[in-house]
Amino acid sequence: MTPHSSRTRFLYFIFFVLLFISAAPFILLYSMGYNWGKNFSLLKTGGIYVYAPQNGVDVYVDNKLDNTTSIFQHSILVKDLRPNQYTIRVTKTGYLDWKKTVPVKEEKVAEVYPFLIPANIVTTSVPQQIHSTNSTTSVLVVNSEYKNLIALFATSSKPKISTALTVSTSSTSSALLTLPSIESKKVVVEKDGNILHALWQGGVEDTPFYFCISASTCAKDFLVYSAASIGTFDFYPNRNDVVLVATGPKLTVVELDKRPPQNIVELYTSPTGENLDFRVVDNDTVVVKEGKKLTKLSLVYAGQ
Amino acid sequence: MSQNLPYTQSPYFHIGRASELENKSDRLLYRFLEMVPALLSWGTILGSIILAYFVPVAAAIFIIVFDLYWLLKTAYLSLHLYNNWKRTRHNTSVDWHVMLEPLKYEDIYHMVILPFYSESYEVVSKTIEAISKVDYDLKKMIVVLAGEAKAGDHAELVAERATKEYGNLFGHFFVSIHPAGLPGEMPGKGSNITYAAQQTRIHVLDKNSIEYKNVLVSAFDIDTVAYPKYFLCLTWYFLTAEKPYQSSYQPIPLYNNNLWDAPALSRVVAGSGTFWQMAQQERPDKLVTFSSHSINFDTLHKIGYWQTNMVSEDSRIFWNAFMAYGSDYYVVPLAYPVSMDANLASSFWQTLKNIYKQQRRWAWGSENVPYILFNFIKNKSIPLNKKIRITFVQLEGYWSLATNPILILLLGWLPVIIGGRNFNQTVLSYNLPYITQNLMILAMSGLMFSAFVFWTFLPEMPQYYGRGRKIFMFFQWLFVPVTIFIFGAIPGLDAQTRLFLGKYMGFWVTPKHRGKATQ
Repeated sequence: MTPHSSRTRFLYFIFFVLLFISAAPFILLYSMGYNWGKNFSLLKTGGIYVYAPQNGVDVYVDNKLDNTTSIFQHSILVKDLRPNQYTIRVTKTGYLDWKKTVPVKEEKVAEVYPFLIPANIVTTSVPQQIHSTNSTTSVLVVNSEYKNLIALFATSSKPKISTALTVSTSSTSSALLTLPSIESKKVVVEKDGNILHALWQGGVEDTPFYFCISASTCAKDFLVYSAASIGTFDFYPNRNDVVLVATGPKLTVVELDKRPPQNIVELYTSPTGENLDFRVVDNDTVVVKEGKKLTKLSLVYAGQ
Repeated sequence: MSQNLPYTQSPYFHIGRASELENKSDRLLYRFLEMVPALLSWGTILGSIILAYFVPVAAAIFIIVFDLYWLLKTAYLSLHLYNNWKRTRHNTSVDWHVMLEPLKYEDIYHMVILPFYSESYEVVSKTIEAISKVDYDLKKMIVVLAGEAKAGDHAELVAERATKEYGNLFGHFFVSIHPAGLPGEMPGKGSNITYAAQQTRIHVLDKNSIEYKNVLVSAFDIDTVAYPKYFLCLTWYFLTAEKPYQSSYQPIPLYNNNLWDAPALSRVVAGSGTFWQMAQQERPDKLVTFSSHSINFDTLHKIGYWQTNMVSEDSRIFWNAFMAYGSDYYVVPLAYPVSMDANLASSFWQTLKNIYKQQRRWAWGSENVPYILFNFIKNKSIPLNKKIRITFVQLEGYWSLATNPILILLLGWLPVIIGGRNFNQTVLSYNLPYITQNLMILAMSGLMFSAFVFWTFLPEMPQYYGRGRKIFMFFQWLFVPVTIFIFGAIPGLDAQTRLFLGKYMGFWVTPKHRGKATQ
């Protein structure tokens, strides 16, 4: 047996070259977002990237189910969308739906980062005193958990926030930072009277998508929320595009996103109508203070 | 060297490095050519990174097209691998006595040169023992045990013991001890086997009036084990070659001596080398001699034996002959295996270090690039189209070794990381990792055939291993993305960079270690 003749090998080579020449344009055009329309016309398409870091999240595009997240896939890329406006709706059992209308441009991908709030918030009262378990007679002792949580609300201490964030209250040459504000990864939310503004302190190239009404139209700051009275405010755990705002007797979750609709959810209302204060304790818990009463709110669906 | 081959008289014929050239412009030219492989490789890698930063769309398009090219190249080479696998299976089963019946081969001698340095007697004796069991008239075998004086008494003791044990089995058993520090020589296999061949010519061939043209020289490594029919097969290919005295003869290197004892990474690297050689055997116009190879003694003598002033003497001997014969020189693929050692040391980490060093030494074969290009400029007898084709093949070969794994493994995501916000908002940036990943998965599926080929060549498993080890022989191929990078691209870049900087490598002897099975 001898090797194939040079002619046979040349034919093999030509075959693969032709395969390469014919496949490359198709793969490239597909990669760039081109698709086939009627009459074999080439259509430019765009996409929407939905990042929902939980399993079992259904993603709807204009009310049609597109995909569901799983343990292996926390993000969904909705592809082959003709340039237009699309409504993304995200649902999960036990959580409130989240919705956003997103413009899609050709060869571009718009991003959305839904946040899911449990439909029924589990509240747990934190008593000031508890019965001692050590003695044979029932004696009320100070609840150490209450003591630790109430310390967060001491007037001299700053709001307790997650370790990813820093509080910025020192004055600088920038007038912006003289207002009460919070900052996370160069996103600043400041309160000016009864209005919350979001400001981007990073470079133009790195402007977060939620500061942009479209891929090419971005703002350095925008109005986030206004209410009759705004008290304490802080970033939602692990997010720098969602804030918790105390407005009188209500605790409200407010989305930072210039694109409509802005998602605003009332998380908790004081049953006594008392003005409330709050602190974020950890990734899943917020503690609300009404007078001397402390209540813990769980941000996770109880059935999970 | 021969007056009949005028180019062998050229001062450029046996050049080892730029500093050996007396003429300043020749020296500068050669020095520049030594830089070419690294310039191409580093230029590609750095250029891709710069492109990913400044023009990420172009970089993304380039990497997608490149991955498609890689996929199709893998398929193309797999086709050749399949063809050679069929030929090798045929050649290992055919009756070579029947094949040789119409041919006169009684006068054909086989000189087997076995260079050794510090290897143990056990390693040396296994190789000689295998030769003693070949199916060929042992009276026509000339076994040359080539030791190094630098190894001290060890060489003498091994040679003495081998002579005592095996000397009477062969027509001729000759021991040569290569003196240390001969002027103009670099210590290594090339200088050792050249000395041995010259001494054998004087003390065996001339003394016994054996015609040089009737002698086939096989330059083995000390761990090269010839299968029983090897020399019959070699004889047949020699006698039926179109130009037997203008051809080298190349077997397929299998690394079966200690395969079951070597770790998986070592087996994968060894197997990958075998597959590459098998694919190249189906493209004889691109084949160059590698490691253990054979050549007619008359030809060897005419071209002045192997170069003694450089490392990659196994491939250089082909290029010497190619230049000497004005490109009318060929490699005949035998599609028949010889068995050698896979890398195995006393510890796992030492094994990995040895694999890296060995791969780097093989990648040092890029020192042939300046030799080829320089002699193409000086040698007017070679047709231009051949020069262009060979230049492209050689440059592409060393370029792809050093860059392709890096391009595939790193650049699939680099534009996304450094391409900036505008690029990251494009459909292309989202599709890039997905498309490149799928193309590579398709390319990896070709490994299934490679795993099958590897399986068919496995030697018998030692009894002290369980069935699990055999099953793992299939799954070990999942390490390929690791091995082509760490033991392919990185040593390739390492070697080319050293050549670029003029930090010439010396010859590194791969330590031979046999595990439980072969001791």
